Amino acid sequence: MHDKIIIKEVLRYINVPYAKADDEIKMQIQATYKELKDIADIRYTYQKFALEKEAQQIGLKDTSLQIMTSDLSRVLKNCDEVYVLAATLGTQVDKKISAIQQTDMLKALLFNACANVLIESACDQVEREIMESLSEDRYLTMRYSPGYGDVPLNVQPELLRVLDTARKIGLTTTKAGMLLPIKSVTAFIGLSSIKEDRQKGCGECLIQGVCAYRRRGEKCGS
Amino acid sequence: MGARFFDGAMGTVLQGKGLKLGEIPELFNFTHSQLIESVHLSYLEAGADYVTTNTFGANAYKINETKYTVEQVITKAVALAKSAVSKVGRGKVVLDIGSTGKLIEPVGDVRFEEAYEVFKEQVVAGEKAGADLILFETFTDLYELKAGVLAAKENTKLPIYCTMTFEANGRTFFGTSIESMILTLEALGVDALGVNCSLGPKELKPIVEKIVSLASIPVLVQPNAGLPTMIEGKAQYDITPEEFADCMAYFAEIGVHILGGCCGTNPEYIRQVVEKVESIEVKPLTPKKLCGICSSQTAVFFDDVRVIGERLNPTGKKLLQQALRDDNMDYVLRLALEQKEEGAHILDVNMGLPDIDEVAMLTKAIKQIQGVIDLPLQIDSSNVAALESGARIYNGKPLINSVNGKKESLETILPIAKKYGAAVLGLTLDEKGIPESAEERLEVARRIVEAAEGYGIPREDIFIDCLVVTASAQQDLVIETLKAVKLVKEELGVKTILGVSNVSFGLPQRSVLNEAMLTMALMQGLDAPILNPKNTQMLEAIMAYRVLAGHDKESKAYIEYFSGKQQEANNATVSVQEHTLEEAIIKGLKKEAKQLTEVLLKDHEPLEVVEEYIVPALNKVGEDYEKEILYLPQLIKSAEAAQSSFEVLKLALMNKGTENPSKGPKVILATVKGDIHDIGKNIVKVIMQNYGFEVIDLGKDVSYEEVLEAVRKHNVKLVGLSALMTTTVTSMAETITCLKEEVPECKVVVGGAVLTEELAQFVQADFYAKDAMETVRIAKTYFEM
Repeated sequence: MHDKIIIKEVLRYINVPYAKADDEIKMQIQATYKELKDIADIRYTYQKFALEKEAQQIGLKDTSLQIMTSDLSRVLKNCDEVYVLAATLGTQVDKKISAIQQTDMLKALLFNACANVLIESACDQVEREIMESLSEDRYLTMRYSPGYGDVPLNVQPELLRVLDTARKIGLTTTKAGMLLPIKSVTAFIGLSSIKEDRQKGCGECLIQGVCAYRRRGEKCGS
Repeated sequence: MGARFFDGAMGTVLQGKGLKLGEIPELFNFTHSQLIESVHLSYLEAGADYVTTNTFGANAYKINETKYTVEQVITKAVALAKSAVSKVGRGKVVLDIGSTGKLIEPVGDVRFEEAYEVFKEQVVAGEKAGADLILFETFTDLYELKAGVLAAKENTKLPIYCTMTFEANGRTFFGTSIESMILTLEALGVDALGVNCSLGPKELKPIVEKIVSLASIPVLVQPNAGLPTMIEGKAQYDITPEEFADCMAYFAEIGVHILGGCCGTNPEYIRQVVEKVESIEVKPLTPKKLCGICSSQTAVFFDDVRVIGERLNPTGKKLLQQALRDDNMDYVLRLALEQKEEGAHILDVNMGLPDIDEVAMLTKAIKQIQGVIDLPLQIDSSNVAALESGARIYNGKPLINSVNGKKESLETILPIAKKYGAAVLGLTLDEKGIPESAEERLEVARRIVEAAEGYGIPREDIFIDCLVVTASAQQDLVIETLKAVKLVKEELGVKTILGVSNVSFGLPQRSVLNEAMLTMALMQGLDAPILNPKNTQMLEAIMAYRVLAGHDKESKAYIEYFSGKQQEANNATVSVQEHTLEEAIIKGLKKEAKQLTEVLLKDHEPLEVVEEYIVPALNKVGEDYEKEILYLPQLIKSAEAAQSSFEVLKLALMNKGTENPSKGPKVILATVKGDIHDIGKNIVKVIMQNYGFEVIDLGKDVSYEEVLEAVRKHNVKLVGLSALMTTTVTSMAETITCLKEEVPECKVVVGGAVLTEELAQFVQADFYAKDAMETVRIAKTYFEM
């Protein structure tokens, strides 16, 4: 990713308007991002499934996974297949973030935000990889993760089991079903024969109505 | 003697027979029992000596979601394997145990003891059902594996085999190194160890070669059938049975004793392996005599001088004493991290104070330290229960400090070291005290070594401390210590450790004596001094010694260190005088704030410094933050600068013997049950501490019972709760309901990414804070400050 974009994204996570950021913090973000990349152990896995759709329900063929969701159903309305992906930065990043908090909270804050940016950019990378493999008449939808809209977070354990992520990339969940390592993402990307609107709209967002960016008239872009 | 053969994959075979992704394969033991038995049969017919039960994920976390119990699943699975064995008339049944899929704290949310119980249920059921041995396989977290091994050792009599899964870089997903696996598992007394899954046999070659070169016990290898490629959404592996068998024959030749397959293999792979390897005579085991200890990631071998950092010991350290009394683990972690930066290779951890629960404190400290730092630890206590508890929950192979020549000590400490797979440090003293002459100390050392070996602790896991006396009191005896170091090394062939700085007590310019003592001891063959790594002269003396004694080839490390130091000196700018303390805090300059506070203390009372400099600075920063003149990064920077100033003041007050009078109201902070995202809460903590609040931080994933208990124990009137995820807002609501019922006088402020004013009302919080500063404002108003 381009340096300026990284800086902008990191500043967005820590709620600092780009115009108010001085050179020192920008340089610090750059250095932190580089340090993070050196220790991050980015791993991902994805798999394509045929979709089994019923009203308000999404199922992946030949798996046990069924999700009740109107929001994801809407995103996948034109799709007959779906990619499910999982990506993680690994446990070293989690450990590093908790270690830095003991000695330098500002750096920990930046490291944490950089990690959010890096995992998203890793997902973008996977998405590009998938796109390149598509035939010309096939299109991807936007990336949609558990926790967006009405897709419950509690699908994570089963979703990880379907992808066998514990063995493949070392991604698992807590007892409460949260992803571990913390800096990890799972997502659905639909596949259809109609050109899809890949813009992420605020309509799909969980915090619509209370979002700090929207109040400032901005969009978060994710 | 020939090699022994394990079977190949179960899961891959089941997927071919209709197991859906995401389904629980262990349920096939009931729904497809004939199929499972036939898989076992075909492996036995292919020549496998061992069949592994279909119980990889048969643990409470997974099975409790089904209508079966763990015991039912395991009993059934073992019965199917036994039935196959009896039909063929040969073969052993291996109870297969994979990772629970949960991570142990502090990285994850499962307590070590809980993981132990989960494994215990499995191994007990397996032994009862008639399994012949236990295989822990596909582990990536050494800590979880240790919980399993302990559960098996303490609750069954079955042999224990362990395999971990390594990536091409020679580490597991968790960063466990091959060295750490071998040191830890061998010391724990497992019967075979090795590698499985993840890679094919070709890619595993360097990993297997390394394991064979380091392991003293039988090695087990179960590779995948090559690397997977996704074809039509299904994994296909890229190696033929023949190629697979060729690689396995090579492994047998270099010394692997037990061979089998993992993902993608089937009976044909095993048949060809057996055919090719059967005639190969396996190499006899040779003891490798590795002298090392480790964390789960880092092994430290004593083939060069190793520095043991001594700062995590409260004796004579007021700030650490206070931190332990306040249950302030942050300070402990900071000392640990600093020592790593300063160049320690191993950290001594001693949490002994007369008025605290040492067992609990040492255990907690070790758990947290090993969560943030990868240096091996030396567990230091005179309390046997604390040593045992610490060694039990340690992630790796620790060094126990210490045993001595007293009968009672030998009989209590050595079994602990043996049981938990620890190296042990022996002090040359006994019932009669510290002997005067070097020869007598050698005799005590000899008794310790013999006793340890009697318990089955190998000589390379025994270290001896010949004990430094103070030159001011017992000048004649200093030289005896030095002589004893040499004698012990020559006569007993064990490594030596010394706390060198004791020598200078009571004399001026202690560092001069310490340095000389260190160099003299190194010359006698001292392997690991225990010292304060903050003291750079000591480390530099070691560097000099390593050059002169020829350890530091071409003086590389020496040159690198001093050129780095020169660089630092050039970069350092003298700026202390350029700012006032107030400015330093506003600008967030940590070092300057500390130095300026020290200067101010020369002609100011500590409280004056707070009132005249720090409070105005913090007020200015707070106002600017409100006005959006500055943002969160500057707020944190200022907070940390003020913190460093407070620390100087705290120490000054302690030295005066006064309790810190500026201690404000107590506030509890916690990230609620189920939530492990706590950086926001930690930022709130730093900011609140700055405004004088005494923050009791309960950490993350905190149950409402724990919050309630802390509220009562510390008599707290304000609790701050954070939640980042929608799913955990429920536990926030639960916690608040509980507090309202049990301690209605205590108010609750909530915050976190998903929280809003509305949601805060919904969960019946008293206050909602959108950020750290607002929490401070709410707390100040509430306490009428």
